[in-house]
Amino acid sequence: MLSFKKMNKRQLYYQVLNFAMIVSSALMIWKGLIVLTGSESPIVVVLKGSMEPAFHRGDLLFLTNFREDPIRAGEIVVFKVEGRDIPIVHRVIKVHEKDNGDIKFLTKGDNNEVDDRGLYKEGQNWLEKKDVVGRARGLLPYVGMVTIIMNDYPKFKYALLAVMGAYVLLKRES
Amino acid sequence: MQTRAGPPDVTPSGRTFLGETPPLLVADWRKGRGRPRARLRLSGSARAPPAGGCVRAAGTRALDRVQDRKGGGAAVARVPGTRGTGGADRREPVRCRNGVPAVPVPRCVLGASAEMNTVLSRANSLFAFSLSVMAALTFGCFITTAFKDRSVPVRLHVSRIMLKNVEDFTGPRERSDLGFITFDITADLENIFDWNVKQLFLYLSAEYSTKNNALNQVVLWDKIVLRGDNPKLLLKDMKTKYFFFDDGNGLKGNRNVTLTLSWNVVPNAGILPLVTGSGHVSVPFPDTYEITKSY
Repeated sequence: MLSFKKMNKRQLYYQVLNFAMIVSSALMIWKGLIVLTGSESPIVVVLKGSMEPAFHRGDLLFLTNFREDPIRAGEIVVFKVEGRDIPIVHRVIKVHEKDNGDIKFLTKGDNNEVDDRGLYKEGQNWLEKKDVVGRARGLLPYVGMVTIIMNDYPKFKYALLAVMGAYVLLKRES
Repeated sequence: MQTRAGPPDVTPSGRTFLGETPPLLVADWRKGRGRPRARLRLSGSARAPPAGGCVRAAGTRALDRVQDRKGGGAAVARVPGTRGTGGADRREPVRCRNGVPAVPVPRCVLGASAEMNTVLSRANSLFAFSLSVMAALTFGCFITTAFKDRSVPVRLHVSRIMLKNVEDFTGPRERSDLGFITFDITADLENIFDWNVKQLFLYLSAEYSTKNNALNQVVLWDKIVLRGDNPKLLLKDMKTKYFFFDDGNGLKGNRNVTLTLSWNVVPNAGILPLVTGSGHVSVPFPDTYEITKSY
């Protein structure tokens, strides 16, 4: 029976290592995407309906943020306002660029009546390149709903993690 | 010595496994009724060749031989009509033809839990299958339309231009140039729509350069055209939706303000390209401010 216990332990180590491999691969892929796209958050989920009917709540957006790409009117940008955590996805409607490359721009959501100056910081009238998280390049509908559910119901997230962990660790039984 | 079929008095291991009747015994029991039952074959996950069990699909003959062999051994006390299950009888193991003792090969999961497992695993595989089908469809949507040219010719015409200089009430409170434009648009967008286009976001933008800024772009008007809406645009004497404020006073006397109609193609899934229509119009702005007239 000692050999049986030993085999169990070895299998346990194997399962744990397997699990760690999966987690670190996911992390590597994510960080690799960050480098590849130049954006600090290359995949975002749309939370509000301010860009309807183009983007609905739960849609996934793929962003890039290459420095050589200039900001032009009509582009959909994801930007962060100072003092707010959550980035906003809206469209650029005004661009003023100087000779030396300094850009200031204004955004507005397609579904909103007015521009975003009400959302900016107090006294801020324009956004700059440093506020940009990325430009929306691709769309994948509905997939982001999972993230929204996990955010709104954290118990669901913990339950899911527990089930996944149990499945990975107990898989060897069968 | 009985060569006749009858239930063997012993089970190979001396008792049944988890209450399951070993297939050997079942076959024997049924044998008297004239035909071997499906149970004679191994069921479910035990269908793989058992290590040690010698049950075969064409079982009865094998069992006959088993019986024969067994009959050559010690005498057995047999009570007619009983099955040898769980027997307290003597325990001579049933041997297969090659002399290897037969072992019962049970089904892995029994009873109510068996059904639960199949329901769950079926639901699981159904779910996984539908997910992969949807993923493949989405990718197909994307890849079939990713490299299409979404440009069509556009005709623009500007009928009226007026320039004022007022305090910019939309933001920075400075006196800036405010332009008013009346325009016409003619375009046929029908060829752009396909199975992967959800909507087109059209916008008319004015591009010009001033002393202060090398490049200025202002969106004057926009429209959303969903798939299913009328794709032919025939707009006349349209007023700008948004105020045409400059960042400063650069519109006055500006010789070259270019108006273009562009659109953002929003797909069901895939790339979000910005396409400029082929066709633009450049207009000069007046040298003086309009004070009296209102737009």
